[in-house]
Amino acid sequence: MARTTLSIAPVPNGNRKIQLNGNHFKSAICKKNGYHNKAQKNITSHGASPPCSKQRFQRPESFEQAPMYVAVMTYLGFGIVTLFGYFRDFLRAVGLEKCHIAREREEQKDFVPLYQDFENFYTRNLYMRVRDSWNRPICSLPGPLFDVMERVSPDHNWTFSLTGKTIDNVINMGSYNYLGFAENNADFLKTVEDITQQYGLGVCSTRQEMGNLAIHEELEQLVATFLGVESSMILGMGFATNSMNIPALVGKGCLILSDELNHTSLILGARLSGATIRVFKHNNMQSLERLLREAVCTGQPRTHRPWKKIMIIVEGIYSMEGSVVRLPDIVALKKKYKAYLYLDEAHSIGAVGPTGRGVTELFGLDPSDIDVMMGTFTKSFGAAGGYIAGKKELVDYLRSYSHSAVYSSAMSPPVTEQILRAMKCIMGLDGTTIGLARVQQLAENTHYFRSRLQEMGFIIYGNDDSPVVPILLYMPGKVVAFSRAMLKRKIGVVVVGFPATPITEARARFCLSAAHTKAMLDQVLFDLNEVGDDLCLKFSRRIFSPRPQQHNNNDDADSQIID
Amino acid sequence: MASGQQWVLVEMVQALYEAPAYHLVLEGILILWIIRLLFSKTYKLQERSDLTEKEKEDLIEEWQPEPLVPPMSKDHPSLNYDIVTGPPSHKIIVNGKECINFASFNFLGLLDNERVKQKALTSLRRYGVGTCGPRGFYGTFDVHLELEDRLAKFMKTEEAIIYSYGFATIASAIPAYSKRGDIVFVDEAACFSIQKGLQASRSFIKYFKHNDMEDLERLLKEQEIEDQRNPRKARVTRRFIVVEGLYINTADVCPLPDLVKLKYKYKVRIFLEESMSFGVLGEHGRGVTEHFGVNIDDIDLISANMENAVASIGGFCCGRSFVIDHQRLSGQGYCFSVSASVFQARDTVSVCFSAFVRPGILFLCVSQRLSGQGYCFCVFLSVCQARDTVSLCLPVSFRLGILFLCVSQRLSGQGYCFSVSASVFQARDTVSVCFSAFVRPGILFLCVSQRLSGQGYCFSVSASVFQARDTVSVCFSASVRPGILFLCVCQCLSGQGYCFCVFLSVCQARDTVSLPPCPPCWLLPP
Repeated sequence: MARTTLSIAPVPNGNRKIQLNGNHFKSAICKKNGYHNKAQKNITSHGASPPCSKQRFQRPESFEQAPMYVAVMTYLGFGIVTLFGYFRDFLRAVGLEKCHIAREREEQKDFVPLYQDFENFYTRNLYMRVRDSWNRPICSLPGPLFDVMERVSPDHNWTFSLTGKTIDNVINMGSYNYLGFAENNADFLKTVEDITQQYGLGVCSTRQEMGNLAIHEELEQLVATFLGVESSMILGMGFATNSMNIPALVGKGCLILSDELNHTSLILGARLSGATIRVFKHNNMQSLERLLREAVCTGQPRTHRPWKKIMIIVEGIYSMEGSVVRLPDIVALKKKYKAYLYLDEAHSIGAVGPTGRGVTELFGLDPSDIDVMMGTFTKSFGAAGGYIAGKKELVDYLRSYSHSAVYSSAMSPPVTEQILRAMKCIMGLDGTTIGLARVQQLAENTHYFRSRLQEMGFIIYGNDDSPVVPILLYMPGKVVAFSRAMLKRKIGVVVVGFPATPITEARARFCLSAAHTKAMLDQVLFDLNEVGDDLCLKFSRRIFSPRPQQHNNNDDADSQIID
Repeated sequence: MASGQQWVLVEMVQALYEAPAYHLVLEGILILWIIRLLFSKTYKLQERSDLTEKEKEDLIEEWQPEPLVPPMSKDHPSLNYDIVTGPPSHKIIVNGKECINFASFNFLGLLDNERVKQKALTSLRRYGVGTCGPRGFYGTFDVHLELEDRLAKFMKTEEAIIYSYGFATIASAIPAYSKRGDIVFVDEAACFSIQKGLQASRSFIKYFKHNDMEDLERLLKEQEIEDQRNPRKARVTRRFIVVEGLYINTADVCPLPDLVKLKYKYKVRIFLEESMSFGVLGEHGRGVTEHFGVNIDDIDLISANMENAVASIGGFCCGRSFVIDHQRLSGQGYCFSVSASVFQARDTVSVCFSAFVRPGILFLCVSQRLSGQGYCFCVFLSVCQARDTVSLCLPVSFRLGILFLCVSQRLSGQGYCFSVSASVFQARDTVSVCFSAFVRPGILFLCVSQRLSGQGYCFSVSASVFQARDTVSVCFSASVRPGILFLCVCQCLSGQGYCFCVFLSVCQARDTVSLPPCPPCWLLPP
């Protein structure tokens, strides 16, 4: 337990919290992840690595389970909607209800149907009813505030038409704008404008041919310096960085151990590689170690030949859970079993760590312990694209054999310049401390927002350090009601349900940003509190003591808003 | 008899009472033993030998994985990229040396179009650079909707969907429709992103010979026979033909009208990859459908990337709403990737209309990299007027062959030089090329050179024509005769700069007679 007190939170609070953890929440510890209580059980793995003086351990991560009735109600909700779906399909079949779905051409009626009927059941009967909560078009910068375009649907969400009006200054809790680099300040964007003027927008060639601009080289060097590794390679799309590079690293006869909640791009990459894939429970070291032992001892199925390589694929911050990878343990395991580690820092790069270097810095680990460091520029840097970094041999190899490096167009020059600018800002190379201040502001916002939500009684998932904050809503009806109610209160939130999450764990996801001011967060918290009461969303059975000393001026802010 | 029997029973019970305890215990055990033998297996099915912890530790200790990446030679070509400084437009600075750019896919020269840049800057100032969210989660901007709308209108389809990365467009679109068990017929020269899409779809893949419709029909017929054998399976097996409009690997145009015929004959859907042909073929740049005058609704899905002719980033798919809408939930590169940068979306909006409708400087280039054979050649076409290009594009590459046409046009008044090249595979096609290219009066040089690399020698016959009208007649005369006509570009690099020579070699002397005599090449000042 002493480990948790190493966190940034003030020590007295930390102690009290830990006590609560130990006494009240034993029942609430989810099977998925109970790291803060089971930390000491992972002695085997810790024993393998010499304790580093810098090393920081994981902050508490909670996955509180909802009461039983919630799960029952959730299934019931889905059951009712499904029944209605069948009923309406029946009505459509007999022609009592108008079918809005797009039809096959008359000429192609006798072709094999492009979609199986049941494939679209979910879309047709469930998603269509609630479609207005997603794909909301906006017409401004995706900064801390944005303007949402008002849509109306004359036919129950089958089609939308824009009214031409906008809902101005909606607080943006949905974009991955962690460090607030989605900005349009003319002074900041000066260099980007210059590059656009100079180079135009595209490159019209691949890196290997005539698309290797000097600024690409500059960015690759900067990324390597930023991460503290030997070399790096940049690519035009984050998704493709994963899906096209994993196949270059592993292949037939290799084993991929993948976290069950890995992003689609990692799954696609693993699948394209042709390697055997085994999935371990989310962030569960026992599960990972068991798989590793078994893999090394028994070798490949049937032939029992030893595996050529074993690669562990994990993410830094899981975007739907808000959990942070248990990197020190994984590094210890990987060293013990001689596996390779592929770390996807899509959400964590820039967003965590005292100077924004991602999870390696958060845990005080040496970046050279991670074999493949991957990340994207889409989130914290407010641009597009991804990188792969690591040892020089790795990057050189990928440059020659990775699919996307050889065949896809080079990164657009203005985007490259935006990343250069943002990264220099974070590193303080622009001669200011703006970047560092933003990283700290984000950490502050994260801790403040998370602790307030827990106090209010919401069930939130994830690590205390993670700027991704999922609030569990569970029931499908509440998901939609929540999203609509929040938009009415001028707060843009992201809600996700099945199939992106397990069927009983629909949630709203808040992404914090350094650009959010305290007033904005207080406004959001105030509205969340009310909406949470209206919709009965406060499922948590934990008891949190009010901690006024941590955010003493909240009451003032709250009262101002109420006034 | 009855009493006797009774006596035996009594005897037995008595004997049981009288028997000593150890006897009973022994018999009891025996009975249990028999029961156990009856119910247990007589032999062990499998010898189980679990590893002990020690053995496991040893195994873990012993196992040595392969290195993550194999060692590489230091002089691999891809480790030493050429560094380009400055914009990669028609002049390009490679490794500090200024060159004329024959390598970028900047077909329409939109990369350095001032109007596009200004539009992009306006968007940049308004929206910033990144979108910071996938389309579902506040990553849909008004400009995205506008671009989709305008692309759909431009392509005359019901709907269009944009992706943020060209490579991911077709690679995501194919697996959205074609699943495990479905059958995809694909041209063997298909580009890499198609191959990746097919791999991700896990469908059955049948390759047909490049642009060979007979081979495709043979496969379709085989499939038809297969289907008759198993009609239940055939009813749910979707079938697709995946082809490229203009093949990046061979510079051939696909025979679309034949494909459409096959489509209806065998009830297969067509997915058309138009990354190279979009903005290049057809009167307005709508690609192969316009080029052949095929009804665009006959193609189920058209995919193209905007990284070539449009000189931006991203890609799009268009077709009927019935088809396209599905990708909004099933296209992985669409759902799970952050949406295209707005300023790029924005400039594309203006591009689509401005570029294709009004005449402007239009460049076409196809770069083909045959890495297997270790060499690279580029085919280019640049024309001064869009109208000329339209007809120029038409004859590009109907047939496989090695034939290049190139035209260099020098506008001395303006002091700079365009070069036009196209690969043409039939003499007949060349006629129309020349015809259209030289309608404008000006100082024109046309020449053809034929290089027979197999025989290791090169000969050239050149002609220079000073009036457009002459050229027309030249070309006509040249092609009236059936003969092999080769057009080729010979590029001489002299120390101080570049000079371009364009040659025309005609096999028939008779045709050449009417041409004015001329030196074999002209040295153009750099």
